[in-house]
Amino acid sequence: MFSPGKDNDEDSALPQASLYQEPCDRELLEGFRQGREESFTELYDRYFPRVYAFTSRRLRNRADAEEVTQEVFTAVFRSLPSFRGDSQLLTWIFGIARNTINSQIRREQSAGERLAEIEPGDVHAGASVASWTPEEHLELQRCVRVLEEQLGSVTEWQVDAFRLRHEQDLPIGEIARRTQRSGDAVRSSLYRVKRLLVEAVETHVAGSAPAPSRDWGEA
Amino acid sequence: MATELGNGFEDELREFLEADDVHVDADPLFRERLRRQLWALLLKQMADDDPGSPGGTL
Repeated sequence: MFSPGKDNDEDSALPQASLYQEPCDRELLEGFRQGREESFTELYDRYFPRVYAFTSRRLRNRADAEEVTQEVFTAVFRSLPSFRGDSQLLTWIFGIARNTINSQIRREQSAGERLAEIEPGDVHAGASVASWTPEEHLELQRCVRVLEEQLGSVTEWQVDAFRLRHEQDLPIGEIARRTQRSGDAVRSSLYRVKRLLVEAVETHVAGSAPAPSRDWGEA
Repeated sequence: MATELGNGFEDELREFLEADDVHVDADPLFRERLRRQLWALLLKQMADDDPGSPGGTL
């Protein structure tokens, strides 16, 4: 597996420890293809820090970094048996990591856009409230209670940000300026409020007691 | 390959190569759990791919 004579000068008296050379990727790959767990573990340990650090810096969220790291290594090791070696293993793993991260970012952007499409004006009452039956009024009160419980943790500035976005259709930058928060904080807050609203509706439809509100981000 | 894909690719590759110098604490439990899951997955894959092995499909 190792090539002890590869880079050594046969005439030099080298200490025993310096004769040890880490196996190269090609050797580990061969061992992995032969089903050796130690080769797999060494490959994994060799690339895990780099892949995890790269995804962490790009995604800035531990849960997403872990999920994407798992996806990357699953794709890498599933495809390794057919890796032809046209490029270096490092470059190949980088390509998989890059594509997986970009897919995750696109998924998050799509989810954000879908939530952004839910506008108050999109919900139309089928009939005037004045014509509702007592049961419908009771249902409305129940719904409002659930909403109030879910949104109890929302701060004043978050309510302002939500209204600026959905009533006045202001861009994130302008909202950030008016609320004196960062753009990321505004985005996170808008997403959080929408999630709380969605949860409130789902809770009400399910007919179950509202679950304690989770902390989705900066308050 | 890098010039074909543009400057964005080069920047990201550089970032990937420099990630070794960035100390990011991964949860050791996650790291080890992932390692075990991957190996179990690969064993199953090897067994499925080798019909002649005791665990393989015929």
